[in-house]
Amino acid sequence: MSDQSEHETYVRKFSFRPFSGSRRGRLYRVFTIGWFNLVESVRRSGFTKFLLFMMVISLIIQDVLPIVLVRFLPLGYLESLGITANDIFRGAFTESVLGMVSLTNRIGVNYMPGFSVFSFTSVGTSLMWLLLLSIIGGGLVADDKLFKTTEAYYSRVSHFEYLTGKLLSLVIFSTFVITAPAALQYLLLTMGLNTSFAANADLLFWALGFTTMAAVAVSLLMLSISSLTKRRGIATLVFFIFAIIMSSLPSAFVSFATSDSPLLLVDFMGSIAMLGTMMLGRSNITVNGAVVDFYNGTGLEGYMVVAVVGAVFLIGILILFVNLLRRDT
Amino acid sequence: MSSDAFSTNALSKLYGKTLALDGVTVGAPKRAVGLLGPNGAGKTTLIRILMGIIRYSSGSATVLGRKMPESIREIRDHIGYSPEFSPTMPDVSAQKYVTFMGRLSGLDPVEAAQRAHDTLHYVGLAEERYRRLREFSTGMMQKCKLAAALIHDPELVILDEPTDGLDPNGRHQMLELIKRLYQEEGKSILLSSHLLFDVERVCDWVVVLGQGKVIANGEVSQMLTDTSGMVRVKVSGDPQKLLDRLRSRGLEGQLDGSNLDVQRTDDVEMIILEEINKEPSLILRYLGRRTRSLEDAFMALVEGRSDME
Repeated sequence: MSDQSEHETYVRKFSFRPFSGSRRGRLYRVFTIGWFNLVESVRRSGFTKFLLFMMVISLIIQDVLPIVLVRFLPLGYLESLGITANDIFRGAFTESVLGMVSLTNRIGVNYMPGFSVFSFTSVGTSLMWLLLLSIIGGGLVADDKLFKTTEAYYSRVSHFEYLTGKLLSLVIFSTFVITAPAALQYLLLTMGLNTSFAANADLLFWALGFTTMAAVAVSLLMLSISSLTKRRGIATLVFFIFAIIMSSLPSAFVSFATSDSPLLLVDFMGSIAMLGTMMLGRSNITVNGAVVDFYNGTGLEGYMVVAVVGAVFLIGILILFVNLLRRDT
Repeated sequence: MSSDAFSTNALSKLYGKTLALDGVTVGAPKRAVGLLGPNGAGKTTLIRILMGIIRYSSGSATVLGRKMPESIREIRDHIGYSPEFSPTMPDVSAQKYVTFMGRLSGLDPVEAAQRAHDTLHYVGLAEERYRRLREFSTGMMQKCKLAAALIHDPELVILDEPTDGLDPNGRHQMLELIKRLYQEEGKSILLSSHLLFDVERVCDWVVVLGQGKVIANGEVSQMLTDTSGMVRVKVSGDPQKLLDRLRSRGLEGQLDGSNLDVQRTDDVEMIILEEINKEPSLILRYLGRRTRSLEDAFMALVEGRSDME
């Protein structure tokens, strides 16, 4: 403990300083919760820092690989087939962004039939994103419940602000991991393929919107699982294993994986990616190379994809509400 | 601006079918207020309601003159709260924790960091402020909680069992700190405790709860005023001798340890002085009103009450 006489001197010198300044607004406090929790979650574990380093490597590969690949493409031959550099840009960028969200099932937009080489460039990103999200998000609410920190929060901010702040920390993280790299990749591909920046601006806005939507949906689910337990390890493992199993399940049944079976919907990450293609206005896509038509009345349909993503949001919100917004027990 | 720290009107709180607060109507001034009662009396429930952490089932409440629940954000900004349990972020330093709490109360980052330094100094954790909370002892954690409660310079400081788990020295330090906050810094205090000594030492107003009801509410000095109509005499020598003498003069009395309590009559003081003068082995040490401790007052209040068991 501090030396009492030294302490007394300090207190006599400075006394208790009244606060006469103005207080910041509510958004500032929500952002404070988000940023503080994100920084502390990353700072506390060496493993997380290592994974983040690997993540950066993965992002560099993801962003550089398409540029390198287009160098080796027989552009002259492709142009003779009527495929322009802009077509390649749209195909490469879309598939790379979709690949950042889908896990084991590769979702493609089928821009150029038989020409889909870019989605694999972001395989590492999607896996690392999910793993880091699980590690960082697992303890966000679970640790507060374990260490009884929730009451300290609730004496200063509302339950809603607390939850929004916690969600924000995962969304900020996801923004660094998938949204920002998507924007960077847009820039790099534009320079690499010598295409006009404005010509594909619709894709940039789509990428920003889609990755943010994916980040919020997955973060919401992660946070809700974290609110179910007091053990961060359990929340982390349950979410990560659940996502991997759900994503691998359709591939486990090979005949389904190469068809347009509704079984593909159990891969909720893949469903989010499929919704992304719908946001682009695509009516048919490729899943693991097989063509899926959203509006042909058979097998996997567009409304089913919307329903699954809606259910992910709903389940996340519902669990959070039940566990944290009920405050009378 | 209201002179009340808080007031409630027919405030009730149900946890499922369990009635935790039963139509509590109580008001306490902006002073050092003790919230007393046995475990399960509803102290923490009342505090949590006043902080807006839980909702009440019926009734109404105001804190620092602001109505609940519509002004709850403003109320939270003007209250500092040290909860009963120690909320910890084990891997975070005390400085970081208190700064974070300040920022949650709306202080900008620089102001919060500066005030965290000051408040940690103030509570006596100057040297320990960069240590991680997992390394803190119970006493240090109690002080850290107090620093977090003070960082945003609140009008009212609510302390739920602030001496819980402290050794006598730590308890003394904590009570002195709280006293100083009230007397020198002008903070209103709401001190919840089941330790009568703590409340008696720091508070000048007390609210007693029992099974969700208000048992008593008023100034400590009034509660300590003896209503038994006895005069207390303290002598060096054998008090039994004096008692015998007084009985022979027709006075009623009884021994209370080394003290002698004598039934008050018009000329009781004169008779006592005469009898002491007559007996050379007795020297008068004290003659006056019988005072009682808060514990005596509390025991008198709860005697025979099933809701205080």
